[in-house]
Amino acid sequence: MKKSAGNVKRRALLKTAGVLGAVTLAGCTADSSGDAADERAALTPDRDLGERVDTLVMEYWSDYGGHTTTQENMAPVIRDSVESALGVEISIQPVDFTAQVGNVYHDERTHELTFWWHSNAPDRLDPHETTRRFAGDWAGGDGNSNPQNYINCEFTELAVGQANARSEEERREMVANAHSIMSEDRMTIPLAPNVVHGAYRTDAVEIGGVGEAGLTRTNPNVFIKSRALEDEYITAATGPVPLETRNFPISDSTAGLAIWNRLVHSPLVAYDEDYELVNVLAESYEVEADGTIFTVELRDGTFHNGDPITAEDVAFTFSHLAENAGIYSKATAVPYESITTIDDRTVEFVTEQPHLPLVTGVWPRWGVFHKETWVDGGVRDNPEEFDFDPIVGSGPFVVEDYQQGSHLELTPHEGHPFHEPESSIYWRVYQDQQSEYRAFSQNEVQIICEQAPGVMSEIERELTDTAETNVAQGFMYFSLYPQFPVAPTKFYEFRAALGKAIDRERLIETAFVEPVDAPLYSCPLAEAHPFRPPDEQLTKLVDDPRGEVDAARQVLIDAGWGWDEDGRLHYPDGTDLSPRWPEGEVPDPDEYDCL
Amino acid sequence: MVSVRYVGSRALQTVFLLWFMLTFLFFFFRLMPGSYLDIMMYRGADPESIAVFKENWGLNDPLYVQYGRYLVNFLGFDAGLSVQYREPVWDLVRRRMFNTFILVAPAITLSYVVGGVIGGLIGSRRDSRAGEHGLGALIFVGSLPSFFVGILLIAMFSMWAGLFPTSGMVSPEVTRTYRDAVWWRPYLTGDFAMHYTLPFVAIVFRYLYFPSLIIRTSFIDVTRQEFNEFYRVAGLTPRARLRHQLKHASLPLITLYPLSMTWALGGMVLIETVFNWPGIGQMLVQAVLSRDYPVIQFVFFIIAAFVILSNFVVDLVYGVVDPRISADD
Repeated sequence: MKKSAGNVKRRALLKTAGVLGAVTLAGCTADSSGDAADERAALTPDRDLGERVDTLVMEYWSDYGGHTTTQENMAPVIRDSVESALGVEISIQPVDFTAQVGNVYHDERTHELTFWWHSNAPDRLDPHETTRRFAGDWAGGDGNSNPQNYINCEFTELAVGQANARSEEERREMVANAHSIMSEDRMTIPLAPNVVHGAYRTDAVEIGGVGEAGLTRTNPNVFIKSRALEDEYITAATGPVPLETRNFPISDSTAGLAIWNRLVHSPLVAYDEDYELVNVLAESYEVEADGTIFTVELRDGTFHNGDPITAEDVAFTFSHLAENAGIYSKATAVPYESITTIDDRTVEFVTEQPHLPLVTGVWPRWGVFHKETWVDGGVRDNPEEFDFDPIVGSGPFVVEDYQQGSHLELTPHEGHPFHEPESSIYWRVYQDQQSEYRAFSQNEVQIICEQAPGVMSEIERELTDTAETNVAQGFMYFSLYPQFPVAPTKFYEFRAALGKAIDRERLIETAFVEPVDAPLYSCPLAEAHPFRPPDEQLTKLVDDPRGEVDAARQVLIDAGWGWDEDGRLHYPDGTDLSPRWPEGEVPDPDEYDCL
Repeated sequence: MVSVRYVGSRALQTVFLLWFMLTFLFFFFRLMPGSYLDIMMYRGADPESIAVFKENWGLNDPLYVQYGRYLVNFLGFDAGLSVQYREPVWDLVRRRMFNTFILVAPAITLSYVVGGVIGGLIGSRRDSRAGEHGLGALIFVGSLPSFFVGILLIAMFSMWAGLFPTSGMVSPEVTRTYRDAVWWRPYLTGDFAMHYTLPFVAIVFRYLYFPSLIIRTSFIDVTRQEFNEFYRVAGLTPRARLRHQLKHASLPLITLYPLSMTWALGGMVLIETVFNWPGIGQMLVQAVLSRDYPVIQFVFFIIAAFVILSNFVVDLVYGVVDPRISADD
């Protein structure tokens, strides 16, 4: 399509007349969207243009409590930024979480932009999941978890290979190089840190263990280190999912796993509230033979029934998890060659190939199980549905009472070798955040976690003397994931322009109670993440958190894109808009040699 | 007298409907986009684990094979395991269904009794000011959403007056006191009654208008029928006539009572959420969102079976009350 300068003027004149009419009727004095369209239209008046870029569909998760609220607050800002800067309309589509991730994993082309967030689950402090999932062998409609259906063979080799690095340094370098490649491809457009909001009653709790991790159920240090002021119990709120089963290895709820594996049981090592890996049941450990032999020395501790925690229990725990990796969805496959007990207090893990995520990803996730109770309960015959009564844990709290989907009552365990909790914890199930807030306001519950910013504002306004809120930055992001197989997001320059166009400052102002640092680099790991590469290795999307509209447009102009007389974006003339591979299929191995 | 043929035919229809619902629910929910496997993937399961999971759960089998297995298990009173919690579905839902039922059944019954009386009074005074205003008030009450009524009650009686707890079924102190007692012991405490009051009132309030309006309309119809003249000529007092009229006018409630119960069960999600009542509604929502098919199928089937069986009973009761129905059938 060719457009003459005369045409532009005529359109601009008509538009001005229209705008003036509308302004007169509405009593306004300006029409910024009209101005922006005129600006765009004037940028590439004489250019031969290809097809117009259709409305983009941006899907977000409509059923995720406080996070959904945050996404709903952010979505219009993203839409306005992109429409105004680039002249591309965005349709915001709420989709329930399961359907949305299904669309992505099965490469169903229902959308071009996925508005995604990763929870600050302690598991993700190890970079395996947050690197491996972007590898090209998981792209396409095979049901695997690649959020953008992204494929880059250089990245894939590093992302897969980092799990088998022979030393911490080598692994760190591979992870950094992998993320550097993905950053250069602009496959992640971070919007804001996944901020964690929580609150506690100052008249009932002396808070501890908050640190960088914040007031969240996945930071068990809060519940171990806080103290009740009024009576011996602290009542904490949780959603129903973590307390639906005490056969916790089958759970894939990160909060549930944290409660059962860190409070009722204890792991060998764990992340503290400042994301440092500390020994819990392990007195010490050694990694030898290029990351294939891991020897652990245990502390002198007891289970809740007084039995000593032995190497036999540790070996049972990790063997059992490995044997049932398909049943326990978080029990990721570890290439064990053997797990053997050297003596009562020493256990040796040998892997077929180097596997450093064992220390930083697998050990912190799982508490040590009491072998005798589990075997007597029939776990070997039926690992999905077995009966252990009572629950004999290795953690800092003893289970006094548990009622499925209702409550979990925990009292301190005297024989724990590392933690010394002072108060009991009563986890009470609440169906939604408003119920939690109402109960919190009446002191029926003293700690509430993972709240929407609106609830935080209400607490700050209404409960000034009796409650305090906490905001932690988190180590993961709210991000926009462009779908790699389809136009226009398959084009590098379009992704780059998207990254520059968004007004992150406004987005943060709209969505959060307190200001947080706007992410300026393309990377799925936030600044607090211990494996985030240094900034020099990442691609900077913008210098200005308010967005760089001119720079965004210039990227597109340089690549031959342009705008029509209505200010709408068009592809360069003759662009191939066909998808990289057919919908629902996988990328062609002939085209990508890493497949 | 109800004929055997009539009962047999209705029983066959009922069995067919139950089977149809079971089958429909099995296939319908599998048409929903996304599956529990996608959730597992998102939360970090690797493809190897997913493959083992599919094999263990028979998800690689054709759908008709899965359906056959489900039907056989169901007929053997085995509703299966919850996919996400790996707990027997029956264990997972029975206490919650009980909690929902003890809230809904008395509340709906009371709303029918009180609503019936109000409807009768308004109907008998339809030309008076009280009748007109009463009708307006009923329509107003009926138009209030249940969650709004709930929040209003909490704001007034919990947050402001501090008379009742904001939410839950019993307080932590009571669960701690009775942790070693039989499971139903906390239901007999004053603390339970305090927690019970506001959600109970909210349901009664919400469902009051329906029987009231039905009775009012039915009452007006009945008073226009000829037998009233007969009663008057026969010398019955106005009070005795009113009693007869109410008896006739209340017939539609026999049909509507179980239906209202079902509507209330279906609509309990909001009440349960607002009052944090540990009933079946919220679990159902969670199960649908997680595509936990065994739980979804079972709970929906129980609700559907309640409607189907209630209608069967209502048909029989109608057959007894009005033998023309079975004869015509």
